Amino acid sequence: MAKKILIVEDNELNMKLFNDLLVANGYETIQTRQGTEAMKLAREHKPDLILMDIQLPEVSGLDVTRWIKEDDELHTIPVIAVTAFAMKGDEERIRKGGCEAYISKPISVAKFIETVKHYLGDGQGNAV
Amino acid sequence: MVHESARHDPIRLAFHSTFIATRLIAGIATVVALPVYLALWGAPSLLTAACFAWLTAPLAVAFYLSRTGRLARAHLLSASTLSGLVVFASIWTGGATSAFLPWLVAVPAEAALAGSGHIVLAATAIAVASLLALIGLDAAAILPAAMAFPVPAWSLALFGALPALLYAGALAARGSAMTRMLAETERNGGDRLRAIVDAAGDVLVTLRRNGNVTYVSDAVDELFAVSACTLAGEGLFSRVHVADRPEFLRALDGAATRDDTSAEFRVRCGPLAAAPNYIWVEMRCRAMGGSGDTAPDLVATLRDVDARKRDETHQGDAREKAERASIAKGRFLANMSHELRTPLNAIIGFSEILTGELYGRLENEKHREYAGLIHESGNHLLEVVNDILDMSRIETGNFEIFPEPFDGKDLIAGCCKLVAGQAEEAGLRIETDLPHAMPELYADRRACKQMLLNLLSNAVKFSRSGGRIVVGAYRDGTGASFYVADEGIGIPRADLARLGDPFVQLKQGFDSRHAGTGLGLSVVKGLAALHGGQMDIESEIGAGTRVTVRLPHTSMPAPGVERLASGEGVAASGFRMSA
Repeated sequence: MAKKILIVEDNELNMKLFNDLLVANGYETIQTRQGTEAMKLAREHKPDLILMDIQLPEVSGLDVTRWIKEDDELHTIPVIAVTAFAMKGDEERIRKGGCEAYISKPISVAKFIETVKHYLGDGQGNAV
Repeated sequence: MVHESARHDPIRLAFHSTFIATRLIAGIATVVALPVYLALWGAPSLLTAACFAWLTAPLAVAFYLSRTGRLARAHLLSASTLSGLVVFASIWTGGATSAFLPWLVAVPAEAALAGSGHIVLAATAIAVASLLALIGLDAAAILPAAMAFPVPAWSLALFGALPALLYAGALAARGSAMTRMLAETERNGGDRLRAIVDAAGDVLVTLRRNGNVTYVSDAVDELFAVSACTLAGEGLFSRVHVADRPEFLRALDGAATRDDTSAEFRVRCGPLAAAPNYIWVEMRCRAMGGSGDTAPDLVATLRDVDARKRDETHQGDAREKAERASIAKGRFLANMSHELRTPLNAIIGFSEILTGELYGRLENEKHREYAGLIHESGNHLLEVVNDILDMSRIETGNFEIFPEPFDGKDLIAGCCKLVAGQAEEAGLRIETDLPHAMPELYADRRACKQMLLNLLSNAVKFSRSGGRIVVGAYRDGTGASFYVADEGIGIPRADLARLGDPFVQLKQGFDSRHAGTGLGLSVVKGLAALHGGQMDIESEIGAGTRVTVRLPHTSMPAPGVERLASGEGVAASGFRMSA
């Protein structure tokens, strides 16, 4: 069965890019543009990984990550932060916020897939 | 004869010299009187001899003052010896009725010339105690019978009391002369002081700790356009700007309790009926010789610092404006960074999916080529954006560097690896030239990585197939240098000087493949400068280019607020390429 990845991303094009990349690599995706909805979806679908945009319109991706990491049910799910807001100290801040990894935009496709596979424990992924 | 310590102060000099002179006269008179006595009455009795000896005591006291300069103690000694002598002489000449008793009056009179109430009081106490002791002895009837003198009783009064009166009169005369002299000195001193104050151009004020003015010099008219008398009492305080009053009082308090202070505050000028007009003044304040327990009065100078203060305010405004602009610029850069990277993510990502044929093969060769071009251009645009942002941050001082010691060898190896693929594609060899004992770099690691990558990608771009690129490092004096040399097309001499100036594009000599903003080198130059180092370029057309970055031993981090963590993203997505 394909592994599930929850994508939290407010930019439509980036959402599509991540989605298509992940689908092309044989993963199933759940998508949301709102950080507030992420918790609900995570509980509902129990994803294997969460891709988290940090700059979200309502709540910060860091806040959502904190909620997830404080949740007894969800805290084991790895969270990879994806952000274009790459200022000094962000990486430390993001890692401290509980994210397992950090990918800055624009992404490198190869690196992106590699990171996702690493945190899903897929050496080769389950490509089509 | 006056002691060293009293010679320079005219008032103390007067006190000391008066004391010494009177004691010398008394002592010498005794010495002169002795032969007269011997001639008239022959050898003195034991008692008379003792009196004569005692009468020379003032010489010893004068000598004491001359040697030690202790006026108070000398006066007390003198008062004691005189009182003692009077009591001694009175004991033998009729006790409480002795004609010598008026001499006791001379004791406080002498002390009056000490210029100190305490000494007069002490001397009076000694004289009174002596008199009471004598009366006590007399009352106890243990005194010897009055000596019989072979002279009439009135002559005793003449020789005993008259000199006492004359002596007291002389002391009083001297006292009055000294009072006149003191007044004169004070007036002269006051006049001189006033002349000095007027010459200095500052306003002189004496005031109490609560700000009440007790004296103010006439120059105040010029400073505040008010007469001196309007500032008396609370006049000055009431004109100090309300907001500055705490500062004003703090300065007065500080001067009264600790040390000299200064304060700057605004004072209202002109008549109170007119519209408020404040000027800035600087006050320097100090305590005026307070005597212990009572709060000392303060003396202060007021100086017009209005022009300077207003300049400062303007400068402060300008600085604040600049700071606000800088913050706004920083925020703008952060937003720019975000807004530009987000669409670039889609451009680079989707074109990479296409070129990678993730969803199946692109049948049309042209489509594959276009997808490749979009991807390449996207990456190029990303580099340009990164360079512009970096350059702006360097120029505005927003690029913060954090120097740390690290192994330059590892960094160079890492950077070579990152460009290896690109170099291979272009048919280039990358070699390293590192000493066995590679000096440890003390610099911002990420900045060094960025400098190396910029130089390497330039070298790759401007080399011809089959060429060689050398990356090296070496100890350079107390610092360290690294360089990237290529065998590429070289840079025209005319362009060399302009290289590294941001936003300057080289004119010609490069085909479209080499098109760049010239920002890559500017960033290197800027980053080197942030470390207190420098970038040097040597180049020969057709032979190659060598760019050296010299870093001092200790890099001074430049002030800044934040920076983009662009290096990580760049390292992940490819290479920084710009000429």
